[in-house]
Amino acid sequence: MQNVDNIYILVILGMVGSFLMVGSFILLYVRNQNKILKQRQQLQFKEIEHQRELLQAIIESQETERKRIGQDLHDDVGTALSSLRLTIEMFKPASEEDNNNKHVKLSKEIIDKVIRDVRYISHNLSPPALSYYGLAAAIEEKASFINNSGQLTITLVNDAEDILKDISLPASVALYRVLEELINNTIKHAGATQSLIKIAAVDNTISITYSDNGKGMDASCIIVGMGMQNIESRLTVINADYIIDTAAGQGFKVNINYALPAN
Amino acid sequence: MDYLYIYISYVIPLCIIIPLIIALVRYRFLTFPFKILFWFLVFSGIANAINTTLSSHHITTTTLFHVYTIFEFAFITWFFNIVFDKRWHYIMIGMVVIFTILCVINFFFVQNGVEFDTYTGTLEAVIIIGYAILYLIKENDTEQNVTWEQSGLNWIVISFLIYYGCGLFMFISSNYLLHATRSVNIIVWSVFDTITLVEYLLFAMGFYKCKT
Repeated sequence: MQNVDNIYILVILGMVGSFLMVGSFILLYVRNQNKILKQRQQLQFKEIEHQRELLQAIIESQETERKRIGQDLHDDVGTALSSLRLTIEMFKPASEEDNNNKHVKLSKEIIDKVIRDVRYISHNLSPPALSYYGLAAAIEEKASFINNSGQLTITLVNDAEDILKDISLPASVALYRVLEELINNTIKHAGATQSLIKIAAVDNTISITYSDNGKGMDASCIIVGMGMQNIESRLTVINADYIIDTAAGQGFKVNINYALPAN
Repeated sequence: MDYLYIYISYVIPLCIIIPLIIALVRYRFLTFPFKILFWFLVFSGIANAINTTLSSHHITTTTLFHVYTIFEFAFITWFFNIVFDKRWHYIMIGMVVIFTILCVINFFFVQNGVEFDTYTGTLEAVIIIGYAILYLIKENDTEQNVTWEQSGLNWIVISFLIYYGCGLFMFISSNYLLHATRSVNIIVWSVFDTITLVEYLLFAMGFYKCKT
């Protein structure tokens, strides 16, 4: 009988011992799994950060290049064309009926057109208003230009005048380019007559809503072309998010939210 | 000692309600493996109730354990069959068939109906420990996107590992209990039933986390 009882002490000790052993194994296994997961997540986060930095570098170098080309066009080509215009101005035909008069007149018109085009391209590449007067002024200038061209009627409602002054230049450039892309898309594809740009501020977040009265599109069929990718890239770099709201026959609307950095 | 007797005879068997209630509350989220486990617990609860009733009338229930082992193994193998990939499908079916045959041979020719099925019970425990370890190896090789605690299946599998790993000593030596004193029986079964309670609580956690 005594021997049988001793076996049960061993059985109890065995059960308790194996419970501790199995429990320790499970705890160590779980700890290890969670550690691996955490390391993987940190790696993924670093990878995403790195990609974002690369993207930012690409966009910055793109803007620098655009600025350089814009300035060169304005300073070199624009100046040369203006000189050419002056030179032709000095050429005075003998009379109004002189055939050369027509050629002079035509040449002046062509040069004027080229000067206008070069100025337009130069402005588009690097809008001076953006660097000197800020985002609001640059958007107003763009809207005014498009309205004058008759391609589209853009209405700008700016309820965030003060907070827009606090935006950094890179963020201003990014938001400007995004709006520029949206306007171009509206002109090229939407067949719209009107568009609205509304800028508002809630706490430290700037909310920009762009909408048009064009033909819209099925939200599930939004083709992510170069334009949309450009928009997404620029907004990702400045940590802004966007929501597209569109449907066939119901226009196109996009809401962009940009939170100003704490400092 | 009376308290311990109530603990092992009534409290622990009734604790099966804990995972069952949680499973019923989360029933619409339960995937197929969890549903198998739910019906296994229902079967187990019924078997426990029959065992308790017969024991209270001093009727020997060791034969019941022989039958219960077959169904227990079938349910748990079915559970792991769904969890593992299709390679294991025919192996597991084969194992259920072979194990059933072994249980029948054991009952009629080796350990008669008045003894616990220690051979087949221990074999069953070893195989189920093997299933659990295989699952952990599979999980280790798979890239996870959520923490370990978020997966309901993880909780279920470790409950099997704890119950059958710790209960192995009990399955091996349960026939010795038949010759021991009442107090020794109660003490040993109390320890084993506490492990059963841990199993039920881990099942409950598994059902709770099944949505993820």
